[in-house]
Amino acid sequence: MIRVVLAEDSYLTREGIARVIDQAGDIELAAVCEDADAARATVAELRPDVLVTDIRMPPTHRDEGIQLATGLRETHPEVGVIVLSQHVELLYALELFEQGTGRRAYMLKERVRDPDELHRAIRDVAAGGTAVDPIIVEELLQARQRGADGRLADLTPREHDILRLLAEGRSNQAIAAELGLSTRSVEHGINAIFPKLGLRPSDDVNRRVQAALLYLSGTGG
Amino acid sequence: MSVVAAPAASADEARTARLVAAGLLAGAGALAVALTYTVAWDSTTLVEPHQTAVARAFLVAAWIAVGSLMTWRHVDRSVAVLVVSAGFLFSIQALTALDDARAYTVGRVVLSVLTVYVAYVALRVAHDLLGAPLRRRFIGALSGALVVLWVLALPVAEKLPTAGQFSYCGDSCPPNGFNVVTWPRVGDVLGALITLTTGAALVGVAVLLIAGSRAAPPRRRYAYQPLIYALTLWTFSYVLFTATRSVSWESYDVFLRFIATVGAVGTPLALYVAQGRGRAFAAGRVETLVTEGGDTSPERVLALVRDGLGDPTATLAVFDDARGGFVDTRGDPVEVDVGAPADGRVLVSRGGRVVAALHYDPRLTDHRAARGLAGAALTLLENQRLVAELRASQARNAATAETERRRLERDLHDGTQQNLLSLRLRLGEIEAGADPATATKLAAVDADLAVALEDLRTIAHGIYPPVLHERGVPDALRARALRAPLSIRIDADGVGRFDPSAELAVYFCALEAVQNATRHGGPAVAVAIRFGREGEEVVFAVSDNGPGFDVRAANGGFGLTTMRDRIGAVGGRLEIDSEPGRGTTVRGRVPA
Repeated sequence: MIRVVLAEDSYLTREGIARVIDQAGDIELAAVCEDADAARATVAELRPDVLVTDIRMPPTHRDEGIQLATGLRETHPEVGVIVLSQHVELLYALELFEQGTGRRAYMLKERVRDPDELHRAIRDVAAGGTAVDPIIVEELLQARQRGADGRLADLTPREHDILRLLAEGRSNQAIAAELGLSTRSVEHGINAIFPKLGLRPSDDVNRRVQAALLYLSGTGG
Repeated sequence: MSVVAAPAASADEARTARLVAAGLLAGAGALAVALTYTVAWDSTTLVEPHQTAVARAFLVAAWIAVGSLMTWRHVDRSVAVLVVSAGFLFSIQALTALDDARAYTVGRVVLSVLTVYVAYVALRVAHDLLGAPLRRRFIGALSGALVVLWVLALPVAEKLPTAGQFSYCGDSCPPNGFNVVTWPRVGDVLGALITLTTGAALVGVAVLLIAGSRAAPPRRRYAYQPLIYALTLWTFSYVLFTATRSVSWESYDVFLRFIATVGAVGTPLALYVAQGRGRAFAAGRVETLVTEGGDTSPERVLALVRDGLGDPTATLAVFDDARGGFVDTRGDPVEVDVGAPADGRVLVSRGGRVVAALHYDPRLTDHRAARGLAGAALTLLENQRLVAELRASQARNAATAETERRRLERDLHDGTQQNLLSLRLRLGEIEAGADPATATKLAAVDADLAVALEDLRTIAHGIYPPVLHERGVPDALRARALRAPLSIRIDADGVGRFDPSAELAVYFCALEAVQNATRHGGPAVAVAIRFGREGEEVVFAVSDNGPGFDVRAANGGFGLTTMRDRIGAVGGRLEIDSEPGRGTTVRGRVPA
């Protein structure tokens, strides 16, 4: 049984999402919270498998959900987090995945309309995987104005391997060890990957994350 | 704007009054000149009756004429009265040409008083070269000494002290007409002291004026130059004559008398010039006030007005609508009598209402200069007040707009969007349990709902970008940069959050600059945005390596006006630096 905590301040939305979560036989809704502080406390107490959270919540009505996810990476790395966003925000998505894509998902709230999608995301995240809303990748690609498939096809098999490990949030050293390469070769490989994916060196948002998201989208992740 | 100065008689009445006064003065003056001339010409006691007669006639005529001219030109009535009366005093001096002892004695006393009087007039006119306290001490000491000396000398002296060039009677002077007992030695000593005091008056004035003008600004020094020359000439000849009286060398005598006449006749003319140039100086101050711009703080405006009037006690009061009363330049409430016009007060009214008042020392200042300065000062202060008011109003508008926008976005985000969202969720539940035909219909409705929700999101985003509210300007721009097909580098260490209205203004301004860069530079353009803090301000700069443009020719295009207005409304400043071929940099600073 996958135990889930839901954090959402809007009553109607909270009830709607709660019903969707409850529909799956293998998922149990352990608690619902109305703000970030309650969510933090509840996670610490119940140690659920997955936290499904809104972004803008009390007390500050700012980016509570993202901060919650980032904070839990430190305090409770075993807890998966699904961020439900009311609007597509690449910046938040990239921040969410900055420390690696494992146990993290970024979805538009509307996806919940299809219960299966939310259930699948919960199962994936609980199992250490990831889920990225297709629209995030679409936005990334729109900004670069090129097809993802074409770009991934430009990569050599080795670059492909490097990108896959990079998407898992591995460091250069870890990737080198895994593939039996020198760290320098990995750096070379990564530097060759970025331009092929249309990521400019001056983009000051983590290019590794963008590359990872493109990889996930290209492999149907 | 109208400037009303006291006294406020109607123009016609004033003109008639002035004509009558001038006529009377001219008549009395002509009489005084004629008398002076005749009495001296026929004198049996004067050493050089004819030369003295001509010199005296010139002297009396010059002082009365210049004094009348001052009255006519409305320069400064108090000084005009002083100059005219000096002329008449000179004519009383005619008594020294008579052989009657008492008449001679009165004339002689008047003559010595006259020297101090002339000193006083010169110092009064040059009020802005040396202050009233010094003048009072100097004149007070001289006149006190003279009164004491004459009171002591008259009863005991056999002979009166020998007079200057205009009354020189040598050995044939009549004796003291008020002699009671004769103490010749005491009388001689007192007489010498009187001569010394008169000399001190002339030398003292010349020295004080020269010293004062050295410390004065050039334009003011220029105003008093003729006066200094004339007085120096007069003093020089008097001292020389008194010191070398024993020398009876005729041409030397004539020469000294000539110099003295030039100095004594030149002095009233120099006084007139000083008044005119002094006013030009005040006018120059008005010009400085109006054209210099720059710092038009109330303190500086008052300082310029005081300087222009030569009156360190002048005060400015402006009507403050918010307080419903007058305030001084420090903003403290003051009482202003807006009723009857009075000397020393200029009232500036607008729309029939008194809006400002300039108070000054009427003994020091010419009304016209005061009026001009008051008008100019008020214009500046008013201007400054309006600008401040406009800024405050813009800031209030910006703050209101920001609050409204944020409230709208929040209402849409927390209310309408959530409602539509939960509607979609419920629709999904119903759809799952419905028969295929109904499910298809519901799916179609849901698709429309999705479009509506997306539209709403776009609208909310335009009203107030969520990330701006959630994270501040740099992250909101980063979020935008992620969607842009161009390279944007954002540098924002330690800027943090600042005033929400200013954040909104800076965000939209920077966005506009970025959009300009793409519009004109295409996707290949690179943009760098830097943020920083300088004291209480947030500074930012958006630079691109695009084609650039001629800022002067842009004339508000390129969204420049919008950017300026946005930043200006929150009390900030914007600078646009661009040249064709050299990219564009938009720099701004806003209060944090």
